[in-house]
This record gives sequence, C-alpha cells and structure tokens, in this order.
Amino acid sequence: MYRPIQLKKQILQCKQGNRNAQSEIYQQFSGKLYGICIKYSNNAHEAKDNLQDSFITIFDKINQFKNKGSFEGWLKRITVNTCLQKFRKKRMLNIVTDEIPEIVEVEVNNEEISLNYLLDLITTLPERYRMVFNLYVLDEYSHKEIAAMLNISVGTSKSNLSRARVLLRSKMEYDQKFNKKTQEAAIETFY
Amino acid sequence: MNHKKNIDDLFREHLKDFERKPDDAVWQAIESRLEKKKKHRPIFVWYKFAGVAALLLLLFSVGINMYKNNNSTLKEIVVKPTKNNINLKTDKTITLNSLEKNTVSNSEEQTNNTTKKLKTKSELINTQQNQFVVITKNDVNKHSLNQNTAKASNDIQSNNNYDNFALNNNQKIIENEIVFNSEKKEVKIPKKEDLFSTNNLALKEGSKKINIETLLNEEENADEKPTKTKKLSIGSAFSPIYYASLSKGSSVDENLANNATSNEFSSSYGVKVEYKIGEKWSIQTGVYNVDLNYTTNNVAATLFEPVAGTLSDISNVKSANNKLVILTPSNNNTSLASIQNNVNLDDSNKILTANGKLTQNVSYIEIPLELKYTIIDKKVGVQVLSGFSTLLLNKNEIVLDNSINSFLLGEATNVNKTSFSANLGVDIKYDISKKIYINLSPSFKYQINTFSDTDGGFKPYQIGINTGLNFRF
Repeated sequence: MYRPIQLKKQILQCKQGNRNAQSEIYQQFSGKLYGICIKYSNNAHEAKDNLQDSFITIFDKINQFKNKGSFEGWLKRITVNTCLQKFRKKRMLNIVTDEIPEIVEVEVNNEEISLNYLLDLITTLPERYRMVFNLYVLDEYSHKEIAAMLNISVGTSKSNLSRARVLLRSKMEYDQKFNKKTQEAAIETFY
Repeated sequence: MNHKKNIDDLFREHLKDFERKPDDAVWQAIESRLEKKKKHRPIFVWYKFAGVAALLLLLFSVGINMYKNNNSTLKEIVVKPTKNNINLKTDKTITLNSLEKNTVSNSEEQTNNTTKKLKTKSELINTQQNQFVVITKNDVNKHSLNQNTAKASNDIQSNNNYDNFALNNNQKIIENEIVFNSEKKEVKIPKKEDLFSTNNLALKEGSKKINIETLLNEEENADEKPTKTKKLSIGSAFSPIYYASLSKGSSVDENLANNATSNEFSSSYGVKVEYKIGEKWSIQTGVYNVDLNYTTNNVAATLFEPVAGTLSDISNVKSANNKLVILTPSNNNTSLASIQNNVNLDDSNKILTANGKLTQNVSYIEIPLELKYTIIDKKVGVQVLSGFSTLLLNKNEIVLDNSINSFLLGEATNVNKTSFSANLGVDIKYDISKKIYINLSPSFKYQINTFSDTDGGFKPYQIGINTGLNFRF
C-alpha cells in the first residue's frame, strides 16, 4: 500500500516513542478524529476526553500496526472504539417492532442546512440511537459489524437505526414548523 | 423550494468526513499523560513485585513460625528438682526481676556452647536434664547451702565473695545474674546472710520467700506435663452492618445511579470457629447469615409486559409473574414519557408509582476464611485479621413503597448467586475465664462479583462490628 515516506517514517518513530513524531501525527490527524469524537459523544467535554483517550491508546498500540492497510482507517477505528467503550457496558433497549420503515425522508429547504444544526440533532439523540446511527450512516459499518461492536443483536441494531431516523425526522419537522432552527445551530454544543 | 431527501443521505453528506480542530490544551494533556506513563511504568512494576514479595514473605514467616513452634523447646520452663543435687548444669545466664513460682519465662533457646541471656521471671527453670535451679534477684553472692543440697567447689573465678561455688572458665559472673554451666551442674545463689539461711532462700524485700526443701519436695511430685494450650474456640457472632457503595451508583438499575439512597438496618448472625496454628497465628471460619438492605429514593416504576422473546434486558427487576419493572428517577417527566415512547404500553402495563422508594433486601450465607495475627495476648487480646468470604445468595427481594403501602415487587435478576468479599479487621478479646471470652471485632468487607453486570456502578462494601461469646477447647 502506498504510503508517503514521511508518514512511514513518522509511524516508525512513534513506535520508538519519539515525542516529535507523535506530535506530528497528532497535528495531522486530530481534526478528523476529533470530528469523530464529537459525533459520538454527549458533549464537548466528553469529546475531548475521548480524543485524549483515543490518542493514548493509539500511541500505546502503534507497535501493533503492521503497515498493512490504511493508517487513517486504523486510527478511526481506534477512535470509534474508544468512544464506544463506556457505552458498550450499558444495556441497550432490545426493542424489535414489526414495522421498520426502511426509508425515511424529510423535507428540506434548498438553502443550506447548517452543519452545526445537524450535529446538534445527532448529539441530542439518546445514546443508543446515536451510536447505531453514526456507525451505520456516517461510518458505514454493517449491522453485523455494529452488532459485534456494541454487543447487541442485529435486530436491535436495525430497530435502533430505524428509531433514530424516525426521531431525527420528527425533530426536524417540529423545528421547521415552529422554529427557524434549521438555519442556525439551536444549541452551540461545541465551541 | 422544498424537496424530499433521504435522511441518511442528508446526514451523511454533511457529517461523514466532518472535521474540527481541537484546542491546544488537548495535546498538552495527551503529552503529560504520555510523560506520566513513562515514569509510572517502573513504579507500577515495582509495586507488583513488592506485592508478590510481601505475600511470599508473609507465607514464609507463617511457615517459619509454625516450624519454630514445632521445634521449640522450653518456652515454658518448669523446674524439676532432684532431691540430692541442686547443682545445675546449663549454660544459661539468667537475670531475674522477681520470683514467681512456675511462671513462664521468655527465655530464648540455648544453643550448644554459647551463653545466652534468659530474661525470666521464674525462679524455677527446667532443663532437659531435669535439673533444679533457684534464682533470685539480688546480688549475686554465694551462699553455702547445706551439704545435701549443694555441691561446693573451689574454682571460683570472680573477685567477689563467692564461696563454695564452682564456675567453669566459660562462665561469667555478672551482678544479679546466675550462671550455669551445663557441664558442671553448679548454681550460684545470692549471699546476703540475713536473707539466707542454710535451708532457706529468703529474699530481699519485694521478693518471695522460698524454701528450697519445700520446693524440692513439691517439685518432685509436680506433674511434668506442660499445660496444653487450648487451640480451638467456638463462639456466637452477631454483627450490625453498615452497607453502602464505594462509588456512586445503583445496585438495581443504572438509571437510578444518581438517586439519593438511604441505609436500612443490615446485620449478620452465625457461628464462628477459630483454630490456633502457631503461637501468634490462627485461622477463623464459620457460617453466618447476612441480611443486607438498601433503599433508593425517588423512584418511578412501571410494570411492563415484554413482548415474547424480547426485551430481556430492559430491566433488572422481574416480578413474580415475569413482568419487568422499568425504573427511572422520578421528577423527570421526560423519562416517563420516553419510556412510553419507547415501549409498547398497553393496558397490561401500568405505572406503579411516580415517586416511591425501592428497597433491595438480599441475604447470603457467608462462609469466611480468615487469617489472624495476634498482637497482644493477655487477658485482653488484640488480633488483626484478613481473609475472604464466600457468599451464597439466599434471598433476593425488591420491595416498592409508594407511601400508601409497600409490596413485594419481585427479585433482581442481576445479583449473582455466588459472590465473595475481601475482609480486613481487628478482633479484641476479653477473657472472662480461661475457657470463655467475649469479643468485639470491627471489620471492613469489600464485596466482589456481587452483580452480573456493573452498569449501575455499585461497589458494595460492609462495615460491621462483630460481637460474640466464645468457648475454648
């Protein structure tokens, strides 16, 4: 796999515990990984904690990275897993209903929907729905993979995803009717 | 113009590769943690080794103690006089503080050819050859005893007025001490004529008067057998218990982790058995029945009938007819509403209380195994103890009190049938007689593996004060 020489060198130096190399890796990837943490966390404080923990784990386990496959993918995987750690221990509501709408659609204006608004919607989802929605929709894991990561059944994963969509839609429709929130972030959860 | 869009696409497009730069404080925090890790590692490893070393040392010293006790001789020394010859042959030097017949001495062991000091309160000292020794406190002066009871000898070494006693070259004369040589069977006895007569060993003020003849006669008939220490004791045990958690959390449901709680009266009762395995060590075991009760306040409870085959993990509380009880903190309307949104509430479901108290009553059969070390061993004794208990679940009830009445809801499904506790405590004993004593034993027990999931974050421990009446055998 083609990897820029610079990155290869940095990874090697990280394996040796070189602080400069670690700092460089951090500078290069922290933006993406922080984005992931924000999506999966309840608030900014938790997101920062998760980011820290993720990097500590990354530098700890970097010796296990075998130069196979995408380094960025490996980093993202560690980050997602770190964010899921606390959640994994909690029990999930194992609801399976008969009608699971596969496709949920919302009405949107042509005008841009604010990214912050969408982020807010995600953040205010109940944890169990947020996790599954993020993993499936944003990080594109399969239900089988999600079930393994969260220690739940595939059915639970599917139904939680469905409920997440329904909840998101109902919130958006409510906002469109009563507040003009789509144009601005309702709650500045992240600064 | 509005158009319909798939919600997945909407979110994915905007948020999939969402990036945001964290502030510098984050990297600084990471860096300092990495530094700490570097430093901590050696110490951490050291702690592990220290722990293992301490454990080995403990086991080793227990072993040594036991070995020592088995091989020890003359911890308690009894003099066995010989009628004709009170000349003693030991090479112990003895310093006395007072004279008490037959008291136990704190003597150290004698080794061949060395002179060891015995600090003893006894004037009767047993040697393996059944010799007889009289020791007194006073100046070490010689005294001539009656021919029947002492053998005079001429090679006295010291400058003091020692007459009629022989000392071998190895012996030293020390003020207030008496020296014996195991070869020569000689004994030194304080002089002071006013104290001594040929047949009596009268003593200085404060000491006891002893008549050798009497002693000789008595001791001949004395029973040789040392008194057997009583090794086994059995007693009752009752303990009020303070039961709580080391960390904030709920034993019943993670939703209640932040609720206020109150302690109910918890207690245990049973029988305990202690067996001495050395001079300072003993093991303790027994059987107790432990009742632990804990109440969570401000609980809203809803009875819920699960759809067949699903919803097994909504709740840890199962009612008698297999309904589940969903618990949330009360005064939180959205929680109740969200329950209603999330589950299919139909007529068979009902809200039991919007603001009640939930009490968990659990009881175990506890079988402890503890090691005790004796610090003080007199009429009042003090021991430290440490060990483990095995806890077998006996009763598991959840009771709901909704201020009108209280009723048995069911049981908690997350309590393990077998769990353990790590125990640490102190035992204070008071001897009422040689065979009977009462004890007071405060202890701390940290419970392990109590719940099958630790979602609630509940880390239970007990602080109890065990009291009992005990009998020695």
